[in-house]
Amino acid sequence: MTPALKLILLQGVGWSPASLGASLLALVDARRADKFIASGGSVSSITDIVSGNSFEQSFATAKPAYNATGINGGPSFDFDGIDDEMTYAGVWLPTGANKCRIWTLARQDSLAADATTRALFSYGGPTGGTSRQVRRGVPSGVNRANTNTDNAGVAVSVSNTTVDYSGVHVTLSDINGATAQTDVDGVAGTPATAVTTSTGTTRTRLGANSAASAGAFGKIGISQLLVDDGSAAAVSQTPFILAYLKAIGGIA
Amino acid sequence: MTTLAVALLVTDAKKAGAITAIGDLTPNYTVGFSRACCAIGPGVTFETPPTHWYSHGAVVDTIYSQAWQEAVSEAEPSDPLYGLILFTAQNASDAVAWAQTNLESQGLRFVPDEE
Repeated sequence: MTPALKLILLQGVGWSPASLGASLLALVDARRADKFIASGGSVSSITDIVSGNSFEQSFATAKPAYNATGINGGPSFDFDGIDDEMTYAGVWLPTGANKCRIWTLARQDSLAADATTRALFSYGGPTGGTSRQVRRGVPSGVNRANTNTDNAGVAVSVSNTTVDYSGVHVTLSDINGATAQTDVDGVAGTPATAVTTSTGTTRTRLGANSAASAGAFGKIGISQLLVDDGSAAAVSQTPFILAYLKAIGGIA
Repeated sequence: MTTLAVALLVTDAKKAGAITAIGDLTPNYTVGFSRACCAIGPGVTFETPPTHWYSHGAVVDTIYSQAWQEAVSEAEPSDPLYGLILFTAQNASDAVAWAQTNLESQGLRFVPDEE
C-alpha cells in the first residue's frame, strides 16, 4: 500500500460520498445543519441529501435529540429507545431483487442486558420479510450488529458475531440479492442466503422498524447513514467509504 | 429554560382524548403515546392487547410539564387527562431503564415487538 493510499484510508482525505456518483442512493449527515430542522434540542425533520426526501416526526416526545458532541466530538441524532423515530412515507431505495449496501456510523447505547432487538434504520414493508433493516440484537448475551432482509419472502436475520456492537462503530449491511452479510468496522460477518424478492415500498424510517406502528426502537446516536447500489463501481470504493466513516467516528 | 425528562402513562381508553387534550394545552409540545403497555404476567406476546400507553420526552421544558400536572390534578373523571400519570426526572441518562422502573411501579411492562 502506498503512503498516499494509506493516508486516504486512515483519514478519508480526498474522498467524499459524492465520489460514488450515481451509485450513491441515500446520505444522512448529522454535520449538515442545512439538512435538518432542530428546535429546543429536538429534531423534527432530517432530509436525505441525495433524494431530497425528508424523515419527519410531529410528536415532540417522539423526536430524537440533537447532540452536538454525540460521536467523536461531532454531532449525532440521538434516539431514546422508547418512542423516538422519524419516518418518510415511501421508499426510493432498491426493492425486490435489487441489491444495496447500507452503511451507518452510529453510537449504539443499549446494554447487552437489554435483550430487545432494536433498529437503527429500516425501509420497505411493515414486516421482517418485506423490509431491509439495520439492527442491534443480543445473541448469546453480547451486543451484535444485525441485518434483516428476506429470502424469497421469508425474513432473514444475520448478525456479525465477531465485534461487540457497543459504542461507536461503522456497520455495513450488504444485501446483494443472493446473500446478506453484516460487517462491523471492516470486520466481515458470515453471509446468509438471502434471495431478496419481497422488499416493500411502504415507508423508510430512522430509529425504529418500518411496521405500521413503529417498533424495535433504537437507543442510538446516528451520525451518518449512507446507502449505495452495491454495484461493482460502489464495491470498488469500499475501503474509501469505510475509511471516511471511521475518520468521522474517530475509529482506529 | 429549565428542563426535565418526562414520561407519561395513560389508559387505552383515554389515549386518543389525551393526545388531543395535550395538543390543545401545549401545542408547541405534543405527545404521541406510541408505546403499548400491558400487565406484567405470563404469556405476554406482541398480540397482547394494550391496557396503557407510554410516552417519553428526554428534554421537556418545565412550563409544559407543569401545565400538564395542573390539568391532571384538576381533571374530572370524564376528562381525557383524568388518571394520566406523569413521571419526572433530572439527569435520567437511561430512558429505557427509567421506563422499566416507571412501568413496574404500576404493574406494567411494554408489549413486546413482533419479531
